[in-house]
Amino acid sequence: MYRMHFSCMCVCLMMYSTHLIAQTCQSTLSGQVLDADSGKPIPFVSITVDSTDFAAISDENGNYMIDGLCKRKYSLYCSHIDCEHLAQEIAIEGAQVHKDLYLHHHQDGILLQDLVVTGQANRISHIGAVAEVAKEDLFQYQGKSFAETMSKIPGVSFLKTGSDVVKPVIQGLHSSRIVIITNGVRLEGQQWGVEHAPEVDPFVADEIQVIKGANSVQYGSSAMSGVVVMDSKPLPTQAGLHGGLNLLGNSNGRSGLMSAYLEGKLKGKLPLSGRIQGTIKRGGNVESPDYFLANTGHREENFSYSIGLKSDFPLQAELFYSQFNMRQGIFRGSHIGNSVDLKNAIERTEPFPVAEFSYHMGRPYQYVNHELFRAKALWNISRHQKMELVYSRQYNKRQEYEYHKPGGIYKDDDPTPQQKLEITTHTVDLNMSHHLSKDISGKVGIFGMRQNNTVDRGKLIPAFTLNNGAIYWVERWHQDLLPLDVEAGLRYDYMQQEMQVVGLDQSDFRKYNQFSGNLGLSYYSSTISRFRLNIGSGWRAPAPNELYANDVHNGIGTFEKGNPLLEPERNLNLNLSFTYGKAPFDLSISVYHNRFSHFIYQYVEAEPTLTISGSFITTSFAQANAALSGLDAQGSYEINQHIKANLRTSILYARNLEQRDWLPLMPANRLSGGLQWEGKASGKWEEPKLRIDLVQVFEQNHVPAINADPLDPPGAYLLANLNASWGLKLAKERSLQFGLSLDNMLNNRYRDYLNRFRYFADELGFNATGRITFHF
Amino acid sequence: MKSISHFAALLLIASLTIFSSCEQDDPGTNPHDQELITSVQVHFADSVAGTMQTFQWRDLDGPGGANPQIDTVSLKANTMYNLTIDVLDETKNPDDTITSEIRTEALAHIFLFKAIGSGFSFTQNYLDFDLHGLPLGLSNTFFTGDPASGKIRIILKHESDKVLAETTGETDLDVQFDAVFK
Repeated sequence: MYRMHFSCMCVCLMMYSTHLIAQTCQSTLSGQVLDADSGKPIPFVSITVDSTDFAAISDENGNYMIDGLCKRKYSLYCSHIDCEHLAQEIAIEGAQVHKDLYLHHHQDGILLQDLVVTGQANRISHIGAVAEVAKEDLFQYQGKSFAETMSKIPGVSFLKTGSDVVKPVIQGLHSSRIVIITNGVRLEGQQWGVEHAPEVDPFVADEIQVIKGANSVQYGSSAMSGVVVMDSKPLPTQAGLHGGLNLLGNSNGRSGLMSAYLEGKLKGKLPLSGRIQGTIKRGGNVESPDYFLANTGHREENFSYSIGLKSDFPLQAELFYSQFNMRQGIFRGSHIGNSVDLKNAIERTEPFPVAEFSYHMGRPYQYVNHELFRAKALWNISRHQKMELVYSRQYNKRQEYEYHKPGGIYKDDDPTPQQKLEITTHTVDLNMSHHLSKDISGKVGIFGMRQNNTVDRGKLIPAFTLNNGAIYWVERWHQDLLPLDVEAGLRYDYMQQEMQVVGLDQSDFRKYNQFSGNLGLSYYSSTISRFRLNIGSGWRAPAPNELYANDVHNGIGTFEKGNPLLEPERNLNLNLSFTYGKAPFDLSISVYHNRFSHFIYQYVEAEPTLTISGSFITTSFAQANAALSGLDAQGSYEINQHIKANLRTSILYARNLEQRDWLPLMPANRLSGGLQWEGKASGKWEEPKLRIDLVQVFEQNHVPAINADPLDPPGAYLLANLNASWGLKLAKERSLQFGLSLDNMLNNRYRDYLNRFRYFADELGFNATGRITFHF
Repeated sequence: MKSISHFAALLLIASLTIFSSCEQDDPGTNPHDQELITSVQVHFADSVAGTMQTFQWRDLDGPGGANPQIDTVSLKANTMYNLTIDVLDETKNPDDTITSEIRTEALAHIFLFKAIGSGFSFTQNYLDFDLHGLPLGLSNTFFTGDPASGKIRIILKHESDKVLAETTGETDLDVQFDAVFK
């Protein structure tokens, strides 16, 4: 069923009564506090009884006991760092009452706990709006890109170049204005381009969260509207060998995918656990309702391993390594010469050249390799203090193979790319979590990064080296029994960048000194409603292409010029959210106002650039004050025990305040609604689930008046999607899951404003996905 | 005992940090090794008078940067010329002749010629053809119209439908020469 985000719920049953029943008070309430997901006992959970002095704390085995209770109904407050003041009711009827309490608790609360139970301990608990992709949705979205998986969260959409190059967009911002964290490390690749998909294997993720609002304090520069946090499952804590296998196929593109993992923990004294995982994906040309898109095949081979040493020993260590290798065909109909070619392409009813289905991938294509290595050591100094050291190394290589060269074409088997960029990033983070007092806990840390970008071929961006050092400090005030939490953080960054620009004798040397801060408040107006306010500031250094682009942008027929005078962007993001949960209703609304100074945007120059292949609309970059304001809301209503209806909407207004005009390339407003049905489990079969959604995306009318865009934004469109899944429990904790998804069931012809291929072709038509997952 | 085996495990983990495969940055090769068309040369040969005139459209630093240098075409009015075209990459030494590549891939290329300006006209006919008998345009007859001035526009299309050449394919060249027929 639908879980409250970011909540831990002590599940108790009956109604609170205000009538005190005079009885002798000698009853005892006892039980265990257990983790709802793993069933493990949770120690040191504080349980208090409303309007009384009764209190208890669960011991090392999770057991708690409160005696001297009267035979009446009580309201229990389960008070724990990530347990959020939700009162639960319990009736004491006999002399001995046993009640086990189940907590759905979240990894990000663990940092402030007094001890590490399971999972990552490198994130600070967030007061700000956090939305998570629920586990059951992760399963249903398997096989889709990382970005599409997150699009279920209101306020998150995606920017596409074709069907496999997909980037997340949070509150209208994307690319270098959001940060993606995988297993505690910022993803550092080439993110400045719209055709640069995040180099992440979605199968590595067990949990994907989107933290909205500016979060530069914890995550560093350029987290201006949100952070995507992706975490693998924690390593196993029980001895034994487990694993899983995923098989998946898509009808559109005739693609197949296999992903498997194996994990285990040594029996015996040595608490060493590990996991290896791999994914292989192959696909051919995809199709819209009327035609195939030539050369849109996809190949992916990913691999990761993880080893951890964890015990009562105060020192713990963990290693993570992953490799991502992707070859993506670029739609042949999208590579055009000049602006006139683009106009011709736009006017065609069918893309040129005409295509059939094929798995063959020729030029043009892109080939990306991404390697991530992370080593972490954790030292539990004491119950209230913990020190953590994280080192990471990332290597990203991006090669682009063109089809067309002046006077001819490159042969398919020509191994030389036309663009080759390599970027290597080392980071170190040393931080200490502490309790300043019983109610105040936080973290202080220092961060260092060294990055080196080499340009082997091509002149899209200059080669550069970048050094970044930062100090950050976050404190959170939280008092048991008070429905208010306050968090404050501050960060100082020093960054220097040296770029070797073609045509300049000396290198371009830049230095940045920036402070960022955030303030968060969480207030329970009642046991079922909550307000959250987050005010955060962020900043972003101009990206190398914004400074030094100087080339024809193939595929959109414009000539892009950089602006070396650009200064860093700064923003202040205000996020206010309200959640309400009382059966059968569930509601969550958040409004935001993200105010920028020096917002970098593209504008059309008065004069086109004359080149030997014709005249090109010329764009350059400028800065202005801008504001992005919006609303994301979702609600659900339980019609009955089996059926739930839901509704979701996202609205965004993005303005260039100085030009008094709209900002380009912002996601259109949308509304979606659906029905979910969950049947009854029977025998070994788990509850069958079925879900139908209608997604209405409105036309994006808010685009700049003077536009480099040769084609108006496409019209509104409606999509109907279906998801079904059914699980089977087998012997010995094994399970089998079957899933079926139907996307674009109506086979609608449509184009999306945020897909660069909208100039050339329609979006994908109908797609059926079948999934089988086996766990043991 | 317990702490020794834990320490050994930590050491094992630490050693794995060294053995994780590390791809290195390749040593840089030439980042400027791009294929480029920098120059279009049009040669007008008057077989009757025995003269040859050459006019150039040149953009030596490629798109952007310095403006292209464009010659003004000056020809006799109402005269028949033989027009041949050379396409070069002058950043390479010796000059890369893209012309021969175009000729080799004649099936995929076609030149188009347009007159721009009122009262300004010419008649162009192809002299060279590809294997399918469809025109190429590296070699043409060019009959100038009445005395006037205007522009000559030359377009090279790649992989277009040669009948519908204007609206299909990718444009490799699209240059305009100021011209005067006297």
